[in-house]
Amino acid sequence: MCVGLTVTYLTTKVPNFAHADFVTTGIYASASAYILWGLNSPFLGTPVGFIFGGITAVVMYLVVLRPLIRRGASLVMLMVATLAVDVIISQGVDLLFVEKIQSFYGRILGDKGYNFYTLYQLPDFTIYGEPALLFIGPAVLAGVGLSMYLLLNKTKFGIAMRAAIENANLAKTLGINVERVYLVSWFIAGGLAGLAGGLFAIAYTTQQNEASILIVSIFAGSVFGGLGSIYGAIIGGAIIGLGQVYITGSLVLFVSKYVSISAGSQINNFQGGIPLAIMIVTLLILPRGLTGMNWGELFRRNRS
Amino acid sequence: MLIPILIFDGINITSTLIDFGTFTLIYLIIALTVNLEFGYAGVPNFGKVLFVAGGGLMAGSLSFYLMAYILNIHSTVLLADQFLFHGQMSTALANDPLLNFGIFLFMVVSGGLIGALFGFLASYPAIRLREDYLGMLLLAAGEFFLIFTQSYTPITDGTDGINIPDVLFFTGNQPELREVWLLGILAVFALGTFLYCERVARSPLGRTLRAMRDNEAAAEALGKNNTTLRRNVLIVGSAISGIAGVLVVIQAAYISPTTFTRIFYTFYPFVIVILGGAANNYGVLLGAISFEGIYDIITNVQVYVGAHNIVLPIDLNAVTPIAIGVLVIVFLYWRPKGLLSERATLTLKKYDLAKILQLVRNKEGAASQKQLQNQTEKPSVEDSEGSDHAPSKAD
Repeated sequence: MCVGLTVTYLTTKVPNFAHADFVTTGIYASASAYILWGLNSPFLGTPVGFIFGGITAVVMYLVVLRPLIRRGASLVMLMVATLAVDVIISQGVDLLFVEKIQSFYGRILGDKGYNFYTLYQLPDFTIYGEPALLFIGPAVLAGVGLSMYLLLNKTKFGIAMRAAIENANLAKTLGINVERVYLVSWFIAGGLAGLAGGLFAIAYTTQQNEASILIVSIFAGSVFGGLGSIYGAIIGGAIIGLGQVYITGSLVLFVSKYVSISAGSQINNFQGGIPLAIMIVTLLILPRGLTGMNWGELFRRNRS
Repeated sequence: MLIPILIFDGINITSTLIDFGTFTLIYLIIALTVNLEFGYAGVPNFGKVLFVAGGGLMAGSLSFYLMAYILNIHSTVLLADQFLFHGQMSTALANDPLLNFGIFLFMVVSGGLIGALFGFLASYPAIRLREDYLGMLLLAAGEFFLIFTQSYTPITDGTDGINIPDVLFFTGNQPELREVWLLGILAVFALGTFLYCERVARSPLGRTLRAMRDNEAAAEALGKNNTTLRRNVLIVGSAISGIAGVLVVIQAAYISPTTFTRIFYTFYPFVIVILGGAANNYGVLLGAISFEGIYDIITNVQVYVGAHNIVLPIDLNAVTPIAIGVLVIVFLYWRPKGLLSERATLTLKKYDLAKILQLVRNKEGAASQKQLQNQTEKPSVEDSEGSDHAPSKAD
């Protein structure tokens, strides 16, 4: 998810408030694919999430952002526009899924126990007694990291992409089709969000307002990793995700041991506070994020 | 007092009008603070809901506990038995109009203070950041506050909410009378906010804020402290938002974090400012009226549809935000400056300015006539050339 946000930020220089909605799209698309096509495992539905997330992002870029940027809208105007898209998508999901699709599914499937208002955790198979997601999640992350690396450094298109991000005008004069590059970046960004959504639906029970909860973590991951770097987003996202789960987990253990069990069980509700805290601290100490820091410079200074 | 109730074809026109007035005024107050922060000072506060909900929920919650304290209710299950206690509070309020006023005052003051406190806390990381980071941080903070109040029961009993003491209870059993009183209170607050914002906009402070918005470095070079200015704007804006939150809570006499959503209290105020025109308080007024007008028309279509048992293929509840989202994108595209765009603020009255202009023109006219007489056959070629080239360069 964070990778996608960073990519879109890099290309259009706008923090995309609607990014979490690509995740929602991915959640519903992959779940629908799984349920409707009767796939063996919900993991097989995640590519559908990728495609739908990507399409949503491209449509958003083409219909909303590009015309506005061409008219020279200011940054804040673009931010308001992304907020509007966020509202449109999240309400659109409401509109489509809550009654219509649900009754549609109901008619086709009978009652298979899938309720789209709150989409229950999709079944996961196990590897060596552990949920498979535990293995597949990091594998996907590594795969995304590797393929992004290959795409950006080893292919002609990736180099064009980096050039377009670095200096759009110069890239244009060198004959790079900057528009196409941006489109593909947005597709990848939305697609990765959709893919993450597909996995998310397997890990948790989700609701259609999931986006508003996720957005905190997504921004935190991107900012923590550094908005200027894709690899930073991978690191940031992983740390935020792990941090959220492990810090709350250990806090719950700690508080219920030393204070009281009821207080401990309360802490789980405040998971969202941890990404926020990390984000604030990052912005105050390392405003450019982990990868934005010049680490080599820091070490050299310390040695001398 | 008797209020005529007009019902036309299943739509209660009186209550529609009252609703229209109520929410126009509430949104006007919030949108004016958005305009002050974003329109004049260039601080996009995408966490508006944090301050509105903060003021409203905390002050509402405090008023509930205060009433419990006044009535000497000592109970460990205060929230669980809130309906019982709410009845006691209502009788106490019905018997004592002064208590109503006291609680009202307490709520407004505490809401304002809490809003200001939140603004101060948020400003610490926020004022040092660029617009995009600031937007992300405040948005995330707002979302977190809502999640927090949903899970942390003492404030609002989680998502169940609390029926807080109704400070308009002295109006008795007439819901319409209560609404009219509320409308009056809202009008006073809205007028106050409007006059305050207009005063700030026309003052030297307003010019400083706009200078900071347009060119930060230049403002700093001229000795303006941007950090302090931003912080103060955020505090003032948040305090007023907190009071607006209190008014929302008073209107419903009920607090729950689900009342405050990002769509309603961050997105819609921004929509109003974009529709009406940033950095123009009259524009915001127009924006609030037109926004609430559109909103109420859609709502009433829904009521009409419900009354006539017409089955529509879509759920109109979700259509409203979508329509408004599309509207704002269209506005950003076709009319980014809003219905009324920013005007140069006049420090003197229009009449005085016109008089001065007249005097200057007369003088200039006299001077140029003299010049013409002196150099009869020399048309000023340079001047006309210069004025021809200037705009093309600027483009």
